[in-house]
Amino acid sequence: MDKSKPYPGSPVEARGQTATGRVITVTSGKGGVGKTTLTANLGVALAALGKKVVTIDADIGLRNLDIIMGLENRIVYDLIDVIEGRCKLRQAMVKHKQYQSLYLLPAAQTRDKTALKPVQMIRLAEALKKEFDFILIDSPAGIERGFQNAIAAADEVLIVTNPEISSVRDADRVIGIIEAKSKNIPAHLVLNRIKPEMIKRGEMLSADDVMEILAIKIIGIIPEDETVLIAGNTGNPGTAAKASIEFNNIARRLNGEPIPFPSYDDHPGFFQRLIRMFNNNP
Amino acid sequence: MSSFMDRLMGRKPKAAKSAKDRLKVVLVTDRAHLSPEELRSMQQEIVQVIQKYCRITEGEVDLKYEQRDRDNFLVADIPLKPRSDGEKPGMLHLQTSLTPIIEEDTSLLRIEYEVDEFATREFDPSTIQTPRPDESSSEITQKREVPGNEDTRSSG
Repeated sequence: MDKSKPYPGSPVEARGQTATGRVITVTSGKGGVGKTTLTANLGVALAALGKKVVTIDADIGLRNLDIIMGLENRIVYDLIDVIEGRCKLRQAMVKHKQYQSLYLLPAAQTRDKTALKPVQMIRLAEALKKEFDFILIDSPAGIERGFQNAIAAADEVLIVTNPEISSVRDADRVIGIIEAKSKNIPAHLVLNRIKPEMIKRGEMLSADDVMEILAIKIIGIIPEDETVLIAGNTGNPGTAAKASIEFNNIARRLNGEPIPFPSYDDHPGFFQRLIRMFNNNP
Repeated sequence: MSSFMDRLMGRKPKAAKSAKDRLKVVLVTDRAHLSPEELRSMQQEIVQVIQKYCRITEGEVDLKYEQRDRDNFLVADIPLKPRSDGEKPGMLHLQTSLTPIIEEDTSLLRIEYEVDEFATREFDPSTIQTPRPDESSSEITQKREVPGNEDTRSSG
């Protein structure tokens, strides 16, 4: 399907309106690589840039975006309530405490992935596109139904991976599936939780290594940062020390700003290597 | 082996390098939907076919997989021995892109969807104040026939 146009018979086409919002799905294949954290932090970062943002938790049955965003106590209705007509879309959206232009559409906790169909996600996204600049969909792990739901409405995809073989392999699989669906969906890589010191020692895959293997464009390189856990514990995305700088950079790159990547890779000069060797710290 | 020279020259010792090398190999089989065993026997058969027509030394056959962007290529350089002495030897260079015979199952990604017993009610777009899209539009129904068809392999 040509993603630049609304699909035939869509609400948007029927009204002759142009939807401007971008639907960006955050996915990974492997679990635990940082999809929810990235979604929450991008939501906050984009809202801080003055954008209207809604984050959607597509992990039906295992919702977590709410708690990471610190909004778990404000949920009245969820995504499935909207889909099944028990409430209006507006009623299910939870406004962020701090950022007035940031909303969360939570997942249902007591249902499973089969409660949602890809076509319903497409319709939902079409409706949200008219009101929001960014619709960020947090995909569940895996490549089954939940992933298919999350990807169905995507205009763009962010693939999250860690510099670790199994998550890179799973990322490759996910990229392959998205490519098989459509070559027109831009996919960008977010390399999460890198440890520059390990890369320097040649013990961890570098951003260049992962880019070479996966052969897709990179949009973010996020260093390992313990304070991300603290920000999650307290439900305050956007407050991590080092990582938040990079989350903000990804948001700005998504927004079209040419933000350069900080260099974490090891390309030290000859003398630096010599010094490091004599410090017995190769 | 991370020797003194390796460290001096800034070459990567073990772990990262080995992760990269192992990933490159496993992704060939993942992407082409071939098991490592199938890959090995394919290599052997290719060599056997060439041997039917030419004299080659198996140890000199360089058959490898190359990744170019998101595509895999099977590339072979095979030195040919002259059939009789005195003739000039040649070199056979084969190159092909590997496309899986079994296409990625994208049936779930199409807009049409199997009827789901758990979904109690269709999502009613009136709840979001927009007109209901016409589901029986031609583009959607056209796509219905394809899945499982033998000839989806085509050019890729």
